[in-house]
Amino acid sequence: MMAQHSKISADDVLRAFAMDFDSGADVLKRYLAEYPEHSAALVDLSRELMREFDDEILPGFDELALVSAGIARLKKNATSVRSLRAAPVKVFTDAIKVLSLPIQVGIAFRERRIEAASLPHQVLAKLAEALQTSTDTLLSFLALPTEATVARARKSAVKPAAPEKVPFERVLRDAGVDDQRISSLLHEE
Amino acid sequence: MLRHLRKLKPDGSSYFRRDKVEAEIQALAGIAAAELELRVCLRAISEPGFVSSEALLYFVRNSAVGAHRDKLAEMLISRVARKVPPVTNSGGDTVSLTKMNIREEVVDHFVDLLLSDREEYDERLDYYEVNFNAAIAADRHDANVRHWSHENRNEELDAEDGELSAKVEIEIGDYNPFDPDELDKKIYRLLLDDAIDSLPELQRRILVMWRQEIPIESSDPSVDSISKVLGKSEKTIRTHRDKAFASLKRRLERKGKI
Repeated sequence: MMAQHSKISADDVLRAFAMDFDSGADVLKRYLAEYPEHSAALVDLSRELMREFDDEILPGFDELALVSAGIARLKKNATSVRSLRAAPVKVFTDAIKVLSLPIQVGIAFRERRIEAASLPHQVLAKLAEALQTSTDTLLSFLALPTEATVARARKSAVKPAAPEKVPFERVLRDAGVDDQRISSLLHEE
Repeated sequence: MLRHLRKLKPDGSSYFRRDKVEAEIQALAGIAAAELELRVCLRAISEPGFVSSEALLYFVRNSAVGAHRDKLAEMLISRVARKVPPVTNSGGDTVSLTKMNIREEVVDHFVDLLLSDREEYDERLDYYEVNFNAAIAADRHDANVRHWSHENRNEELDAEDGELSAKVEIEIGDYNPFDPDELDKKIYRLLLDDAIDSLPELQRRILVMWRQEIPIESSDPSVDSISKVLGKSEKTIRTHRDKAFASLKRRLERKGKI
């Protein structure tokens, strides 16, 4: 029995106990009998599992600061290149709405068909914000090789060749964006 | 069909969400994103429309990148912060740097798990979908171990096997801090928690086991008694249990609650 237990980490035992704690009065007795090597930790964890919290009081200053710090860290690391690569097309077609551009432009970003150097800074910044990422991360993503999305690939009877990267202006024209809008996007400060 | 949890129990079987959480998630999946964002702001479980933290976590883990997921994650982090003891006691007059560090560590750990799960499924988050409060309790325990051991909180026992003074015996009489009638009152439970926190480690452990109806001593060697688990004589355990009772009684009387 002990030989089997040696393979189970203390963390797994304690969290299994935590998950079981509400299931009956004898849970602590049972775990103490089965895992005597973790007895002190099981007793101390029981204390935490019985701790009472008042959910109705308003959060204090220190709690608000704590939450803000956690949220800031979550946002700072919000979207990596890896998660952009894994994101569905809809994430990009939704994000492109902040620029009031057609979904074809969003798909072009997702497929990395746009030459990063041709992108105005304002466009990059707005799209990065909508994607919950930084402009640096977005540029790193766009620098990767082009990749046809699954939806587009399935429409073709033959395996499509990887699309080439083209200037942003070309993507806008192909998507039917009018000249005035293209001009304002490309020359926006 | 909800995504299954992947974490396995020590016996090799799978963890599952509770049935009521599964049903809640199914129901919430049909409402608009804006309504869900409003409902997750409700703080008290008694409020109509309250969303459990287990269900909230499910939506955070399974929503696409974007502002909606961010809003849900913000509320989830605030729920974590609510489940870590404040740096002041219920009287609002004690500030502890160690408690602040524990609070930060618990919240930081949870943010770490969320970030890790975004990169690749992190099965450690599954615990929080099974029982959010219990998983946070385990995190508090981990942080306590690290921080209180740094502070060397082990108090010297002033009466290892000493006699309980007649004064203490008279003081506690038939007092029971875990009187079911008192425990029904939320304010009493909050004050009792504060009072137990102030006890030496041995006395806290004795009370935890006493409350779980573990016998002080047993003639059956297969039965885990408080004496056996803590490696102390029956007399020592009884002495410190009574001392703990006397401390709690004095402390709670000062608060005017008994």
